[in-house]
Amino acid sequence: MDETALLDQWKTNPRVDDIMGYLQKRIDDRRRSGILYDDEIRTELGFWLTEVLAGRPSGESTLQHYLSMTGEWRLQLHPSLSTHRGLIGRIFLWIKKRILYPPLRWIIEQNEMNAARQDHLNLSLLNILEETILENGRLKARVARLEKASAERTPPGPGEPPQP
Amino acid sequence: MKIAFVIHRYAETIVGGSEFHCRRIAEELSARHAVEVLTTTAEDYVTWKESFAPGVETINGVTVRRFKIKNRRNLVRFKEISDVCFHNPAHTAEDELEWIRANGPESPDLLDFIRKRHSDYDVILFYSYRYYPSYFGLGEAAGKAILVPTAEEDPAVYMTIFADYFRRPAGILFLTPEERDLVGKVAHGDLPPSEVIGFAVDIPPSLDAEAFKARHGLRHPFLLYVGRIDRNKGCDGLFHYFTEYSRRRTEDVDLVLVGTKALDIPNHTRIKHLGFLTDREKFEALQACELLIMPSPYESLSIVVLEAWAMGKTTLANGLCKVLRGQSRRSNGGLFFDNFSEFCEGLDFLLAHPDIRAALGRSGQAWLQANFQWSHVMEKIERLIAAAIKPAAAERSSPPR
Repeated sequence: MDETALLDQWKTNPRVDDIMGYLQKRIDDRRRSGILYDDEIRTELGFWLTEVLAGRPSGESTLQHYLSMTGEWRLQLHPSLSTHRGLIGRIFLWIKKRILYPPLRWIIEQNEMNAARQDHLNLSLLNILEETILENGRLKARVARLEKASAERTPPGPGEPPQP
Repeated sequence: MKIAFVIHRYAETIVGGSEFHCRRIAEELSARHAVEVLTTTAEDYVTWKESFAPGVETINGVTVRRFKIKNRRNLVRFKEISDVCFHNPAHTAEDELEWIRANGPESPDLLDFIRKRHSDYDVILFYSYRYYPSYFGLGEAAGKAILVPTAEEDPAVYMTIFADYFRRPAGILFLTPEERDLVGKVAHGDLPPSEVIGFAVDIPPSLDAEAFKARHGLRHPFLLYVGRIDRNKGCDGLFHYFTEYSRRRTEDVDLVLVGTKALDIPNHTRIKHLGFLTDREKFEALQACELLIMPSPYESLSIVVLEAWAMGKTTLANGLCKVLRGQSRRSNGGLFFDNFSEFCEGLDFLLAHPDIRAALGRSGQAWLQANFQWSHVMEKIERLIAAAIKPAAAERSSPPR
């Protein structure tokens, strides 16, 4: 069905899946032709970078988001207190949490602040790495386009038919 | 039948979220049953500051018992324990229980009342799994408890303590099929009997969109956002996308925001904030807009999306939220976006094709009318009570063999 017929059909019977498929095809077409694609990626990246720099609690970088990395690389900003020793262990844990931890808190907070700065720096560096990856991708695409254009312009060799 | 609702806060002034859902269901059920609400004295959802006196009052024909709160929410402590529970894989179940207590509103009096008086009620509906009254209260009356989890796909639902908790009530009322799937995924084992109830929309009579636009000086066509203006609702992303969209396009369209502000709004000529509006004015805004934008990544049910469809308006929603994506696809009532390209493409398409925009709105409206009238919602609730509570009660009252 051609585009006009589809649009006419949706005026009376809109199908969300079909419309979303149509919009996705338009985006893919623009991607293939290079129109706006870099610009849109930049906007998307800018949004994520703003979020990371704003210190969003979930703190996901675009790289982490797209690669679905686990959170294991993150710095542990809070002391992890746990026990496997039953009642005795829980008593020690209580003493650690309620008696030892509060007076040591000001030292911990000092370390926490530095660790938070490092965490922030790590996330910012990840975003810079992303920018480098994207720039590399753009350059590769540009080189491929130039090579293709160059091949098309190459004059036919002796005995070869001229290119259409 | 005598039915109790347990919820963290309850007031006529709360016009969205699980509290609004709870109030409207309680009011509708009160036409056929004796209904009471057991809640706290808080109105502010951030601090749980006491706004009401403890005691009994009546709101729209429903008896409301308010219990005092032991502590206001300590936001520093809550952030600390949230970081531990959401980012430290070695955290313990005790940490998670501490998270529930820190989340609050902590009301031992309310728990005490449920413990002593639960036999006065035939069924008790517990709203929102993550709050202190529902988490600890459900354990006091599990045999006659119906849970309305209002679960969203955020980090809290994956805490280990909820895996067993979701199996404890006699029945569960879900708001969407996506919520049922989510809870089924995190629970250890089979869930109790359940129903997916959704919500019914009541449209105020005699709306006047033109008068609304004149009153608020809205001279251009506009996209509408209704809800709390908050990072958690995806508003920062919406502002970013809309300002970028406006910079690239020449469409004469504004973004109008309705709701209380918990986030800085960009100073942009095309973004207008109207603040909190009455229910009537909210529906007039829906009638006047081109379409509703819903950027929230976490929803168990978006009531305002249903309200937009009830008004015959289409929606453009965050497709990363499974609930919004599912609702849009089932109803054929609106489009969705996963990224900026899709946001631009979807908006361009809807603004350029008013006939299709209207057809999508009509489709959403028809879906709502076919599936979510009050009679449908009430029938499902009664059915679940019959399936989950009555057999349990009969089992309790039958003589031992």
